[in-house]
Amino acid sequence: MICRELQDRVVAYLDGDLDDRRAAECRGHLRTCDACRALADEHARLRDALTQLPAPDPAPALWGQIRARLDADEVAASQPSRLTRGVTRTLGRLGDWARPALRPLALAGSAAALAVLVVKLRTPTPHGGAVAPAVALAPAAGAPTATEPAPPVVIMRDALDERADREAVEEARLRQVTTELLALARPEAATWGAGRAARFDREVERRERAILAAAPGAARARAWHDLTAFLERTALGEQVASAGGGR
Amino acid sequence: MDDATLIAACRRGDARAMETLYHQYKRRVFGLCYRIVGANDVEEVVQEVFVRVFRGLAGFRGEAQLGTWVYRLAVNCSLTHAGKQRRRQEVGDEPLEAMAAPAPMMRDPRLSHRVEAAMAQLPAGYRAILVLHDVDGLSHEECAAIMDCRVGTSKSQLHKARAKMRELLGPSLAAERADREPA
Repeated sequence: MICRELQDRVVAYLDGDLDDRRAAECRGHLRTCDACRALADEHARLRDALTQLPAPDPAPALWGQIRARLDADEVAASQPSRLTRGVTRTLGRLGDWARPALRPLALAGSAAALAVLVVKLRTPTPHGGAVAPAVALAPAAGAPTATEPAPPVVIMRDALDERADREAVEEARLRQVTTELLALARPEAATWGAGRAARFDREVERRERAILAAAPGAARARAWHDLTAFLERTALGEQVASAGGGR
Repeated sequence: MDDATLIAACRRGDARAMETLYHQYKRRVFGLCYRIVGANDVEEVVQEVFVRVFRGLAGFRGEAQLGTWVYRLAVNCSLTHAGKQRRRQEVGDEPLEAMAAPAPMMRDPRLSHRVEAAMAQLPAGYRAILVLHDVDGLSHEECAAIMDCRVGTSKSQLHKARAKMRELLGPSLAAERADREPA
């Protein structure tokens, strides 16, 4: 055995991972080579030091923190998202006259809210004190139930993650969404039939898919603009017919 | 309580069983994470590990030992976190003091202190294999199962990690040897 071979095998030799023949070769070499013996001695010292390193103890409070997080997760999982609650609350405020007409809007509510928020995001908003009411109102009887947030929510939240104080931003967004939804919904709600609402939903979905498919940058910005412009047209009373046409 | 009973109780949300599982693995998980991500972030990572453990128990099929599975989550969380630390360091948006190596624990000021400091300079993957094999005393088969690699890879990683440690500690180890040799 030459020194290089010993160097390659010294860790396995010290750990007892070599077969008998190779271990005997190492022992034979170590008996005759001072340099390799010094190397093996250093590795043995290192291994012993590593095996004797003390185990640090976690703080006693750590379990309580983990438990609290698990509990909070369970509570969160049992409730609709804040965005969904906000949409439901907004629609609930509109009163009975509007509810049948607004059912389709509930499905599109998340997308509409997001579209509004795109504009808000592009214009930095002050976060301080922008806290929405903390009380979660139960959905009114007959009020539509909004769906889970559409995929663009992920995009939006990723963007917000890069900003400070995500919780405060999210609360501020929710309030803005609520206000904007009211403004969007009132003028049109009474005039929508079921067929038009369905076409509206399809158009929103198509634009959402376009946003997801667009490359980041200008293309995605155009896709977002397309959605916001569509929703703005709807809010301003322009006919949703353009949303469906012959589709 | 055996693992199967403990897992079943945890799945039912039994608080005492969950606490038992935590105490059963807390020191090893904490020690592993501590030496991979450092003192500043260890609690955050350990929280994440146990949250994933309890969330994941519903889908745990028992193909691996419970301990192996828990350590695998701990290694994965720690390495992921260490990767984020490195990226933050590269882009320079994290203060240097926040990137401090694990604080050395002073038990044997002659060597263990320096061993801890040297470990902190290793790549995170080397730290993981050193902790699993040398500090925790796991076999290469167990290390390979935890790190999801071949036994041969575990051995070669350990060899490289020890060689790097010796390189970092060389003068100290040589001095220790000289002190012990008769004049």
